[in-house]
Amino acid sequence: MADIITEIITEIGIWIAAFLTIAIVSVVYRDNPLFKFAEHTYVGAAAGYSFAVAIGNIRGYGIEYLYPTLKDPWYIVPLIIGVLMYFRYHRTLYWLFRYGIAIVVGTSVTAAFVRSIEADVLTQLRSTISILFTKGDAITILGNVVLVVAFITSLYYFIFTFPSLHAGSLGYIPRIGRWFMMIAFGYSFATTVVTRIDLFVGRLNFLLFEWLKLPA
Amino acid sequence: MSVLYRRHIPLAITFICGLIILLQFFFVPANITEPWQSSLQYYGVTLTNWANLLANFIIGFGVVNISLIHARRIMRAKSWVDKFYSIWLFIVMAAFIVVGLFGYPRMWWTPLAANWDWLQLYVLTPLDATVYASLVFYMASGCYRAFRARTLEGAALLVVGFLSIMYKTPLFQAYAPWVIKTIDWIAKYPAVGAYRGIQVSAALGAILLGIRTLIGVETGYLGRRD
Repeated sequence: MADIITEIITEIGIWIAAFLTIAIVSVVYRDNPLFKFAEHTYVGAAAGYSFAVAIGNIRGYGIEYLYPTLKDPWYIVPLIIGVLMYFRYHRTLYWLFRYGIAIVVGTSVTAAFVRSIEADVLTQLRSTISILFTKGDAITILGNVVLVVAFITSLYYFIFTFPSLHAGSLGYIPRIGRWFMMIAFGYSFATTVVTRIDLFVGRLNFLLFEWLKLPA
Repeated sequence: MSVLYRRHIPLAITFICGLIILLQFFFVPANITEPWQSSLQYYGVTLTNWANLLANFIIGFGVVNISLIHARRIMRAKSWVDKFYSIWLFIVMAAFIVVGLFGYPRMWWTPLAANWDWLQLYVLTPLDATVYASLVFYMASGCYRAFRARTLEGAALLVVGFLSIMYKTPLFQAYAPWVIKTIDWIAKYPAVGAYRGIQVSAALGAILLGIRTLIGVETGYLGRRD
């Protein structure tokens, strides 16, 4: 009996998922009530999901330090500041939310940029310079030289932005950089398109083989 | 209330928090030997946990804002159809919140764990995947605009883009294996080089923005001006 109930619940779930999938794809025809229904379902579901996960995280990273055993009494501070952040909607006491946002911004911006120094600047520079000393056949060596030229010219394009450095005798450097970037954008745009097509095929597979149960 | 509480203290908090994280990053080694290093490590880790905790409070703003917008829409909507969409959004949101509070694994008491999994599997995941997948149709029109060869550089984007889309198809694999080798080479060298340049430039920009935020030049995150 329990198996039959589980099967029915699963089948209802598959039908709901199929309905929502078709409703979202129906926007290809044009904006329609079915799509609007699915769109509002999506926004509501995503908001509710994020809220539940946030409450879970507040419990895991904050309340657990205070209750049931007191591990670190200082964790009462972010909990109070977190509640104060909701004064953002108050007409005169809105500034209280700034204390919480100041901690988040100060900590996360600094953590992001100090990690960025290592991961995005030093590591990239190190691996680009070391590639010049890599041994290999003619194609590999040519490729490595092209990589370094692409790196330097595209870096030049963004860093040296004075008008005089983008024109005249030096103007060819950012022009070459732009060529390399166009090639890179062409490749990454195509990769994104292919990934999305892959996802779409996944949804079609769901409709055909899980919902309609066609033989594979 | 004075500008000290409204503006200067939040800016000072931002600076102090940033300073603690900076000191932790530059002065605390992997193998801690001195007591002051261990204290600095504790302050850094605690501050990071506090920021993570507060970031979860910020997620609540999203729910409050959506609720305010749709409550206003329900009150102002002229037709019942428009009201219905907003009411339905509230119903779905409430269902997810209630089931999440008693079903999300991190909660104290989880009698609705199976319902939470069911909602995720059959409502949120299909919607998520289909919304992303349906972007492929918008990309088709984007492709048309992006891949128009108006300039030589545009033509480079067009050729590389077209070949990169087609090179995985059986047709090209069977009749034009050189395309596969060329695209692999492009992906390995020029594309990597160009993206590294972009990555380093963006990182330098982010570092400057971070420094400007810490010293109080960038104050957009404080919201409206007093």
